[in-house]
Amino acid sequence: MENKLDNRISSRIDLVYIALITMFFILLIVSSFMGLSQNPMNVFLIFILMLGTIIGYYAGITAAMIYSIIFIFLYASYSIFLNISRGIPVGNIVYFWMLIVPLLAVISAYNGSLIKNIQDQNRSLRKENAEFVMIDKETGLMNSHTFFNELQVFMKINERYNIEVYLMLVKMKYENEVIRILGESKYKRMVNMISKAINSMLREEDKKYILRDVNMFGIIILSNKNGGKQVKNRLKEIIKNIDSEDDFLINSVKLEVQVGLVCYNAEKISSPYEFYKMAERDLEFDV
Amino acid sequence: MLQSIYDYLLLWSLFSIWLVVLINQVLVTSGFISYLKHNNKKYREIPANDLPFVSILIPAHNEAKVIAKTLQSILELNYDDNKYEIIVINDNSSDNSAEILEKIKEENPDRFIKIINTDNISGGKGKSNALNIGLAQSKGAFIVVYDADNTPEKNALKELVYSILKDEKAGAVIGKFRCRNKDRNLLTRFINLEGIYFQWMAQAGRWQLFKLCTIPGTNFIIRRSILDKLGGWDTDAITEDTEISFRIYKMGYHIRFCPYSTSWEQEPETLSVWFRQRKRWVKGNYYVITKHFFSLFYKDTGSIRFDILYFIFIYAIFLTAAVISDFIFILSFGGFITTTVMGYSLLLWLMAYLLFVLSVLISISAEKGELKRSNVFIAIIMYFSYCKLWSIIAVVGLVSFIKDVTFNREITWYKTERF
Repeated sequence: MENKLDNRISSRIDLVYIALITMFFILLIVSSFMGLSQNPMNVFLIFILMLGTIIGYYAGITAAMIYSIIFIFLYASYSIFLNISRGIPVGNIVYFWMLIVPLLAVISAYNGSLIKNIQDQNRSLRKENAEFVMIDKETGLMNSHTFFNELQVFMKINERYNIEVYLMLVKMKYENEVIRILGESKYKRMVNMISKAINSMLREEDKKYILRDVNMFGIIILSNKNGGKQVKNRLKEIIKNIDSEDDFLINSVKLEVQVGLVCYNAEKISSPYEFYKMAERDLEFDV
Repeated sequence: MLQSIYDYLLLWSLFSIWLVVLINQVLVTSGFISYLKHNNKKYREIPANDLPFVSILIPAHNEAKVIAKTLQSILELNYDDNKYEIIVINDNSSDNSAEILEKIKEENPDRFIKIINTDNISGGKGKSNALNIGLAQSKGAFIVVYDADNTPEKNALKELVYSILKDEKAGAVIGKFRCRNKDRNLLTRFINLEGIYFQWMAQAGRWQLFKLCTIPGTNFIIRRSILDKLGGWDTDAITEDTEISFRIYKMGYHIRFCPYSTSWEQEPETLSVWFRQRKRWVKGNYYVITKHFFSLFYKDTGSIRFDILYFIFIYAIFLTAAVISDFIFILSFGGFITTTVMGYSLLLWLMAYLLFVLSVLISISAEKGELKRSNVFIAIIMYFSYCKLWSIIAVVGLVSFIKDVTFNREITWYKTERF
């Protein structure tokens, strides 16, 4: 059904474009064979025609038709006036203009409405899509959209089963300097390396996220007493010892991370955002 | 250049046609401005306890086919049940309307429904008279009228009330009407487009230009104080709505156009019924012209001067011009006479035709789902078919009107047959 609808719109756009090209082709033929360029009035009318197509495209079909009726009325009245007062005969070209101006304005307006339709569709699909995507494409970790949703779930688990929930935030040290020295693409590789390390070190049931908008990794760990601290130390150790086999430039920059760790406490923390903020503050103490 | 009497006649008729086209042009364009103003406005809610008490009058004469549905839809309006009463004036009906109405009333014991049954002695003298009977028994500070075949949209009443409350100079507020049975046959499709076009041009356009509207006979609200001052509806008028509109303007009030309130009505499905209904309208317009002609020259007439002039112009000048030009065209086509102005009469004709089609399309583009291929086709053929029928009606109506005046016929119900 969806597919059918899309096909219909796109085939309509094709038709409209062919119609537009045909109309301009006719205009070209008529203007060269009927010697339109000899009369400055016709040049002015071509301008009117262009204005109509532009107004139609931007303002829609109703506006295009309003533009057309005003043009037709003024132009026909002017031609009749010339005929009566000066005896200038009403040539075929008058009828030609009276038909082609509204036609082009309306076709162009229709074209505009189809394109706007597709744009709107595209925008809403993208928005919907963004809401559905939960996994970061490059690292395979879950993204920040999922992060806050799931953080809430783990807070609830803690309240119910009394298991300790840790939130760990991992941030690359001297990040800006790294980017400046190595460039974006190497930085990206380093991020991927860290994410690999995190992935390999942690258990399957620990939740790992990449928070792209703040350049951090988020990790949610379920543990017993002080479990979080041990994980933190081990993680720092492993990342320190990472080395890239093929890139000595990366090896030359010592890869180090800052880690913030907070254990959830239902009395002090009321929302996922607060939880996150506390972990962010803890980052500052990891010097 | 101009040689014969035919040339001058043709020239004059062409000029008249040109002038009508010009006026319609201006109206359509101002309708567009009004459309831009009203488009994309959000629905406004009125606090429930500020709603005034409203009396809804439904005049009915042999309406058994449609009255139950109408009453039901009015009972279901989105308006506080305790804030409106429904008065059905079942005027001199010979069918079983009375039983149907009584049954609905019994089914809704907690609602304010009043049913007035009249016979040929206490009533039966037409819609105006029926409305006056209903008015005498109503309590509301505002009176709303629906024809017996109407299906108002849920918010129709609320929108009317809202509009009249916020505009103190509005003696009445009118809503829109649409054709409910538009897909029945070609005639109802024509009527549908005609209705949309008429409201765009005549109501929205005139409202935008002159703050001028005329009551369309259904889906309107009017202040009781005005009706009291006017002494109710004019029982001599054939089209009581145009008549009362004129009198409202003469009192210094205006009639407001509210495009948010819509009522769906049933239109004639056969040509003969359509013909009779339109003949009545045309005669009503003649009545208005003759009655109000002299008020053109009074100072206090105000903006309805436009309407009187427009009516005179359309009926007295435009129609004769159209007939003359058609006649000369046929004669010269047959070679009986020769004219020198034929050349641009074709141009004028093409102009009028293109403008008509485009104007109809403009007005239907404002209604959701109406700008479609079948309607474009109907607009294209409308000029040659439906519009020609109108000129026949104008002539027939004039003859009938003159007969009425000379033989002093009495006003009774002009009943539009239902389907």
